Amino acid sequence: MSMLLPIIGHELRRLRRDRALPWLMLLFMAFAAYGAWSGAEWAAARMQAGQVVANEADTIVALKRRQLAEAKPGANMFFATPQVTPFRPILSPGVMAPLSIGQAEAYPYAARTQPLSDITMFDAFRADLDNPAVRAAGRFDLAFVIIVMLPLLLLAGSFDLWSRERERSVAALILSQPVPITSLLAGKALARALALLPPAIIVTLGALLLVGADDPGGLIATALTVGAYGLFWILVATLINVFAKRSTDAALAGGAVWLLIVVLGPALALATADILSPAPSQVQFANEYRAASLAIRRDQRLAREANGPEVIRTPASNIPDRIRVFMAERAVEDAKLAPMVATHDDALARRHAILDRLRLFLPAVATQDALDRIAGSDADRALSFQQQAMGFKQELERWLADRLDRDLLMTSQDYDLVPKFHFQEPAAGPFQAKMLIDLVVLFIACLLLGAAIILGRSAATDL
Amino acid sequence: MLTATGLSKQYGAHTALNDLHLNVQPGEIYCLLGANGAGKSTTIKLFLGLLRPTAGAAIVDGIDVARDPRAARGRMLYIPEMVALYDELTGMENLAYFASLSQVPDRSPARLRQCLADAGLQPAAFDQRVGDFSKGMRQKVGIALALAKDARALLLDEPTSGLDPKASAEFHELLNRQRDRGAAILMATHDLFRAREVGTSIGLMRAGRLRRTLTAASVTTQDLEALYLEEMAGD
Repeated sequence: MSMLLPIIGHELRRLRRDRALPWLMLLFMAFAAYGAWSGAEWAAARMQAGQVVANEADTIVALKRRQLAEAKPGANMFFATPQVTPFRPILSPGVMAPLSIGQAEAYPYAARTQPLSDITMFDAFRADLDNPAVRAAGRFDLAFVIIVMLPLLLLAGSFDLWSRERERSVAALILSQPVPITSLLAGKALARALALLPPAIIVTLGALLLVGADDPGGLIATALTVGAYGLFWILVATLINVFAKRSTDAALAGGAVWLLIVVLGPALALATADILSPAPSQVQFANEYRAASLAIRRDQRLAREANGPEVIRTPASNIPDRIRVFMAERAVEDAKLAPMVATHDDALARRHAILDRLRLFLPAVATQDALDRIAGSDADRALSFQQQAMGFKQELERWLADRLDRDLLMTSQDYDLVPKFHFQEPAAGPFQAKMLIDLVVLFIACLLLGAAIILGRSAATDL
Repeated sequence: MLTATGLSKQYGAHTALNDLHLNVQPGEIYCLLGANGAGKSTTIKLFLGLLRPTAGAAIVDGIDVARDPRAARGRMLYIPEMVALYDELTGMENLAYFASLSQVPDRSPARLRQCLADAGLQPAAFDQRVGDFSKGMRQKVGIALALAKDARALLLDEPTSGLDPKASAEFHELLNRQRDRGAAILMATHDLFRAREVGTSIGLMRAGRLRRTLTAASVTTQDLEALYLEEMAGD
């Protein structure tokens, strides 16, 4: 420790005189501000889209209330039958949404749920029709700046932390002093961590606060994630410097590692998941589902027609019996289609599980996952929304069955009492278990790098 | 103070140093003469612990360098051909940093300035960036570090190579002062004249072997040159 302090002090003095670093930090600041703004714009657009969906339901309810108020005695009250009551589960972006758009665009953000609706209730709320170039490259949000650009900033500030002394022969004089090489490397790495990470974290948090992402837990989790990911990159630079004798070699190695970890690694993970468990086609599934559904309904219609015309009870019920028949037929249809849905869901779940495991080996993916979870734009939250919406659909079916049994038309007051969808956040905020696992992954990666540095330290004394 | 016993260094089939026996006493300047590749720099690196010996031992003040390199380095100072320092820092800042690495107990600015002055550096240069220093000025910072850490042994690898005659004479005067305060000095050099001038003992090396050891006072420069050429013409 007594050796570390002078080394850290010396390195900080040198870094203070580095003219390029302030400019690089300013550039990072500009990118972070733009990323946060871009994320905030997306979150606002998503919120607005959710509001449009909510307004749609409100408009329909208002129409129903007006129709009920204007209805004359003896009039056809079909508009008041409960199966056409609008329900709109909506997945609103979280407070920290500007941090990362993440997986949110790959999943529906709302559902047009009715008691007799089916799995296609999500179809209108998928973002699949977005610009394919944007989808391929990913959004320029703050998470992108952290994952892709922060390593470049850190590598720029530390790529030659020991190779520079080696190529300029200062290393010989240093190594002839009674200082262990591990203390030397540790001091240099710590100095860079102290000089670069706090400003990077402050810039990130500042950008988030500027756009209103001010959840204290989310900010702390973001700071921890950026700190751990940044430390990982400083240790990468340190390990490179154990072996690189020239700064150009160190820079090239740093660039290659960045390319491997940030660009190729995630792409290879996706390719691996594609090989192990190909992503089921959403379009193919939707088409097959619709075709099967139409075939079932055609058969049901033919069976109904074979039974002769509908018998109208006397006195006629408030809710036509054909609604009850439809509901029974829908239950049959759901049961017949359930295996197809389960197969599709299983394929998605398998792929999701594979990607979930692969992230344990990929620091950049683990970091993206952690940021997504802090932002609430992770796949688990979106899938939880889908499950909750499907559960809500079943609740509506029970609610409808009860009203059908009691032959109750909707009244204006009933619209205040209809079940409402309340999204239950699936995990305990930003510090959910999987986010902590992501941090552990980064911590283990740092430990492995530290071990590699210690094991290879003798190479650093080779002049 | 500096002792080599059967010191050898092998790189695969190539023998860089073969069974070196050497002893440099306090107050002695031992000059190693030899052509490039003779094993002079290898000897110095083995004493510094920058290389591990294949056989034998390098001992500094009773400490086997291979066993406890840190303790040995605490007693030595290395001055290479070109004292490479941090160009962006001043002479004082460089000296302060290297003194801290050497765990010099008194690193007060006053003491370090005194060391720089004693090493012959002009006070105006103390706070100048080392990037503007000449080679001779850099050597003086190296000597100042030796003074600061009170090094008992100095290992010099062709320190005057490329210095102008005046700077070279100044440097050797500094070396004499170090010798007079009791430091053991091992210097690798090509400069026969200076070796004869400042050296106490002279070793002639060729192909990794110490061929001959002379007392500087016992030979003239002409004799030394003749012996040197005779040794180098071998094989």
